[in-house]
Amino acid sequence: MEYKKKICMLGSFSVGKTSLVRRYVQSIFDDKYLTTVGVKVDKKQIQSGGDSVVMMLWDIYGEDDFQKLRMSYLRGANGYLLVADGTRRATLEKALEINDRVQAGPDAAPAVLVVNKADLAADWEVTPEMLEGLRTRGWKPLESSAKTGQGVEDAFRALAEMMLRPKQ
Amino acid sequence: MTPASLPEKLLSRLGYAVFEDAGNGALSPVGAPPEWFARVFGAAAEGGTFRPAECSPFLENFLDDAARAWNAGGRARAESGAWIERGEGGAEVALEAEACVLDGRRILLIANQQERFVETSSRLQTAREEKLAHERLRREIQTKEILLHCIVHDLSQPLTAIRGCLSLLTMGLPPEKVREVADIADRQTRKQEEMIRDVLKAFSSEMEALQSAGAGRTADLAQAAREVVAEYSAAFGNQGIRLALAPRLDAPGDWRATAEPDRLRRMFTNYLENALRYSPPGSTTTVGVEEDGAFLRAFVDDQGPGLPEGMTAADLFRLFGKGKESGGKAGLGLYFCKITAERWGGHVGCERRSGGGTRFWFQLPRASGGAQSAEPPAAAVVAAAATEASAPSSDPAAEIAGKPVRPLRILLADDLEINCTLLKEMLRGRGHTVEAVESGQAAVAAARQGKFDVILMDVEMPGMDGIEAARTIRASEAGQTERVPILAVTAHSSQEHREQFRRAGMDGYVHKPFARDELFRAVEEAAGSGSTKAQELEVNSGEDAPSPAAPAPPFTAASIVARFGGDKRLARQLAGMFLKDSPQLVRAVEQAAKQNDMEALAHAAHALKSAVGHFGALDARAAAARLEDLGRRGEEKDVKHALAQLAPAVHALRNVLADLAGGRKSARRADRGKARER
Repeated sequence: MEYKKKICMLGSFSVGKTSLVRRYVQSIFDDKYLTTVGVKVDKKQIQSGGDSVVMMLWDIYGEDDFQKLRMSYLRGANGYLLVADGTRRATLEKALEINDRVQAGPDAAPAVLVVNKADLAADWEVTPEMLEGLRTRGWKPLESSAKTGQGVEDAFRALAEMMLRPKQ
Repeated sequence: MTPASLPEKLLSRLGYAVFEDAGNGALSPVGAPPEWFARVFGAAAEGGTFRPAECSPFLENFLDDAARAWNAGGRARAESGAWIERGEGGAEVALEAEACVLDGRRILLIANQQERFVETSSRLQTAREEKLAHERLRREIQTKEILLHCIVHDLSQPLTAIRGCLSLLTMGLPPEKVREVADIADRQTRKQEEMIRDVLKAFSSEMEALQSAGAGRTADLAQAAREVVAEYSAAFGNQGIRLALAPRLDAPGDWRATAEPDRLRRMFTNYLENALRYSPPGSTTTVGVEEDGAFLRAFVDDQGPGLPEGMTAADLFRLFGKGKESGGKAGLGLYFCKITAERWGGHVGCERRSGGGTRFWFQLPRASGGAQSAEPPAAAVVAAAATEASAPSSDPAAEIAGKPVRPLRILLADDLEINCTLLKEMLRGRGHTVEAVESGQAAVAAARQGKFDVILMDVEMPGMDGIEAARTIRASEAGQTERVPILAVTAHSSQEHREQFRRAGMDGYVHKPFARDELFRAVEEAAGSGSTKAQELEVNSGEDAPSPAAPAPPFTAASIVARFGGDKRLARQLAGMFLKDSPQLVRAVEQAAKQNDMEALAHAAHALKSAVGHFGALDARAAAARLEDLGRRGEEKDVKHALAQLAPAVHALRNVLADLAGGRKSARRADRGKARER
């Protein structure tokens, strides 16, 4: 079977959404932080369990005081990659808050939570206890690094699985 | 293509692509689209109809919003916000679209906003970079504030004891008591001196610890509560205030939460100091922990005047916030609690109690099942089990309250003669009976045959070590109702070691080097003789050797005598023993290093460290500790350098001890003997 799935990258600013997409689609990483203004759509075709999936990756600007998330961008989304920055605890709270909003709306869809910047583990404010707490709430947070590539494929693959084969 | 009117031509000239809704997701161009449009959308832009679904998922999505605006009619509009398309040659272009109804026509404008986009991006980039820099700075400031608080807090503590001593000295004590009080004050000043010296070292370690404070660690709130209550009961008692533990704390339960033990205790002590400041005589302050969903909540309830009118928790917990102008120290204590709890994923607060007074609390996430306990076990600190809120005062006055109620029978196991002599002399001088053995096996045999009130067990002994000996003694006690308290005598007091002692069945430990009164207190407390109640078994909270970078204070014959409670005879005896034994101790270190036998090096350096530690020879102790550490880690690379530091340090100590023991001749004699042996 062939599928086309819309995936929205959501999270606070400077958590690494664009870098994750670039790493996933183009296998490149740039250390310099360039803020995202607006939306950019990339695509990547993958195989998942015998199915061919075109992943339409909507890299949406990070939410902060300057830019609020437009829920209309999420229309028809099949899945969400919620991204937090392990070195900034507040971004984890922001990702969860965004998820609450999304899941309460008409475009509720499966979500994978990714805590990015695993290459800066020594500076992490997000503690193992926090991640454990999330697990008790049903999340399966993944740790990733767009810089090293750690966990990036896994995160998108996990989301593809959730979209294609949702558990009842 | 719909013919373009003048305004439409104008829009095209200005760079806008104008379309009219053609239905079914198609757009019909109004006039000729500007040049950029073909560069961005390529073939899809050619021909009469533009279908966003074929080339732009974003625009396709926006058509739903546009349709809503078109259907609403009137002045309704829909704006897309900026999006990026990749056009000819991969060049990215920022676009914006707008839908509206004009003269009944359903119009869609697409604008190339690249220039504005670059400008907006630049502004946002700057703003967000500044926000990130601000966050980083805030975290750094917070870390430094905690560090400052830790220093202020730790340096303030000995002052309480010193003040108590000064107060006692004005009470007309007999001369021998004056001496003891002065000794206590002296010890406290030295403790403070050591702390100041350690600030440099602490600076780096505290910073490091704060970065990861709590990460992956848990601590037992109930145990911390018991410890601080034990520690502070005397201070509260002196002001006529009863300090009590909440009853539920004695009940079994899992009181572990995300926390780092040292900072957790600081949080409790900050709350207690606050309560002490505002509680009236005759009142009770209660410390407790209770379950609160996914959290544990620790609290300190006082019966003071309550929060001042108009004052909120936010006022009290802010930086440099104080309840009253006259109270408190730096105004950092409650702030420290706040930021520490928040770092661990918790919260702090305070509230008026219905019956009067105030409750200060902090809430921390419960430990998850797999988290590693970082808390020393209950058994590692005798006071935690033995001291209650109503325990007799352990202030300086109580500390020197005279001889023990009954002489104790003490079994001492230590293979190092100098350690044995020191302990024996001190304990016998106190009126206790000491039977000394030199090995773990001998200790096990003696424990089986004799009846002892307490066992002092050196940890590192050849053959059966102290851990194994303690384990064997405990195994032999199986089925018996009585068990003899065993205290480790050790220079190792890390949490890992304490856990090891506990698992071996030991009841606590005495940290080497130790001072006389503190040794008495630890032993008598463990034996339950009741003359004094130790607040903490840890008689010397100093860690291993001080940083080599820290300047070592000068040590003299007089300072060494003072270390042994003014007992010149004992000091001379030990000095003589060290002068006799040290060449052999040093040689053992050197030989092990020469043979690259790292295990032997660690053992020999440990023995030497233990010996020099009794005299307060910080340089020699630091060098020996370094060699011990290198030996344990099997790092041969730096051994030579560490050995080079050891030799002059031991030589300096020997010179001082030679003066003490009766002239430098003894040292020279010993040195000559050493040369001959080589």
